[in-house]
Amino acid sequence: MEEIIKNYSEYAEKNGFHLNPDGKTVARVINGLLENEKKKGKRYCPCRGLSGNQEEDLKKVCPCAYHKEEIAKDGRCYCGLFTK
Amino acid sequence: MPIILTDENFEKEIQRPDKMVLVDFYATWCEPCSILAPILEKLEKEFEEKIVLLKANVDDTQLNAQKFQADRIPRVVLFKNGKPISAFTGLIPESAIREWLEKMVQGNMPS
Repeated sequence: MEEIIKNYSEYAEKNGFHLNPDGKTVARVINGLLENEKKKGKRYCPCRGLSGNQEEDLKKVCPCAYHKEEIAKDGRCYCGLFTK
Repeated sequence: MPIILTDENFEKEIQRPDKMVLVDFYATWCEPCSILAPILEKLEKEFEEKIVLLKANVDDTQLNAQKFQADRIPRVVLFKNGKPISAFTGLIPESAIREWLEKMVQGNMPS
């Protein structure tokens, strides 16, 4: 868990945003990512349903295809892992 | 015992002649879903004569989650006589959901 948090934190800083300072939210999202990896094979965002279309669903692997746009627009990604 | 929605029982369970059915598409580790859940439970009590709340874990209802555009969750869909009449996605304020429900139940009660 700590290693994953560190990796996402480094990814965020490199891209000009941050890991959510709320540790409880981060832990919850990461638990969801790990659960999805265990059950579905990839770290799919726990706040998105899967369609069964592999190409579409790959866009939902964290960091998802939508996070940068959401952070710019809403100040955080939809699931709350990253913040502005 | 609460009803657990699956793709197998979904169609049957959303058919209620006496009440509208509010389906909450959610996932266990989804943060906005966990914040929205108690709000919906509270509103279900407020509207208990008119609405019943059913929970749909997207892992158990993948076909219906897709059918009702639950690509982002929480996704809340209101059904009347088994047909979707309105929906919203994401965490929105309790007051906005209450206002939405009031508007929906007025003139939309199952006959």
